[in-house]
Amino acid sequence: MKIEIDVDFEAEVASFYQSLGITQGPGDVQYRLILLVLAKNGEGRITRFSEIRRYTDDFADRGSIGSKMKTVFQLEGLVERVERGGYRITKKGMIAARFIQMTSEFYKKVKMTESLIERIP
Amino acid sequence: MLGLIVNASICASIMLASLGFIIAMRGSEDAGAQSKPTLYSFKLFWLLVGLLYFFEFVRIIAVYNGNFEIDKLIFEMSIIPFSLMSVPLVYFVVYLVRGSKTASTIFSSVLCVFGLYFSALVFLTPIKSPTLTYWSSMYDISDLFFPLYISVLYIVPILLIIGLLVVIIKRPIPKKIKYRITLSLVAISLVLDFSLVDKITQIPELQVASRIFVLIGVVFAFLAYFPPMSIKERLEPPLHYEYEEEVDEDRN
Repeated sequence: MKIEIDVDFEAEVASFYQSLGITQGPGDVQYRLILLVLAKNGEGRITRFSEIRRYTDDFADRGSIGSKMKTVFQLEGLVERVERGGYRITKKGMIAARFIQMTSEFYKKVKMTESLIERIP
Repeated sequence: MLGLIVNASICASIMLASLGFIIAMRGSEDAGAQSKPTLYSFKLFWLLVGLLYFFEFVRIIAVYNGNFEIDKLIFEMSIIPFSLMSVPLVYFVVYLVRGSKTASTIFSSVLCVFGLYFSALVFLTPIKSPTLTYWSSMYDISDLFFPLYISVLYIVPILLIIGLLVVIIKRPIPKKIKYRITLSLVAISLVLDFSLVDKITQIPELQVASRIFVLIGVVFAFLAYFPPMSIKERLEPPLHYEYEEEVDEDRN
């Protein structure tokens, strides 16, 4: 599964879910980006913390990303810490990443339907 | 001769109904900029339908007065709106689905070229004298129709309409909009199908029957945009509802 990460698009999708009252998970841009970076490297590769920060630095500080890694990702078993500043995504994490990709597809479908409705005379 | 008058009245009704529909839709022009291209192409389609049956009306009046030269000339002229009807229709469907003016212009231009080629073909080919019947004068040009008209100018818009119907039915669209677009597409396909039957048939009764179906198609289009109150109520649930004032039991 090839994953392309577009930070602006992920922020747009997250704000869409936030507008539906879903502020966690799909509605959290940090969660989306961390998971996508981890899934991009796959189960076999170690993802460096600095690699995640390349995508999140524009809108989140180091502390909040580190805290999210600990309190959400490690705690729920989505990643395992293999070394200092190095994480590997688990099977459970891959399921979560697939779910996040599905939320992007759902967002695209909703937007397509909305624009189709706008074009109906 | 009464048959000619009945036939002419049906043609006049189709013409007036389609023109009336275009005029009635003037209010929809304040709709969003996104829907303007579809609105204009939709109106253009109904204008061509009106024009086609205006020519048919004049043609029957000419036959009634025994003027067969004018009848033949008007018959040939009526082929132009008939063959160009698919052009705004293809623009309408392609723009609705893709949202790209360029793609819809390219697709409709290709069909426009085919339509003009087809019209030229009818003009340049010598047509046999018409058969005068109780209902109308019948021209036999069905040999010209099948290869070009049906394979391009008829099949393409019909397939696009079916495709659009599938897209619309599958998507979670509000009931009111789904009703409007579905009924409009059914109306368009009725008009397209029966105007083709009208042109190729050699049975005068079938021609009159197909014109009645075209008229039903125009009525359907009208009902799609201006539904009767009973349907409107089902499509738009009332915004305010009656509620019982809650009684605060502790206060009593």
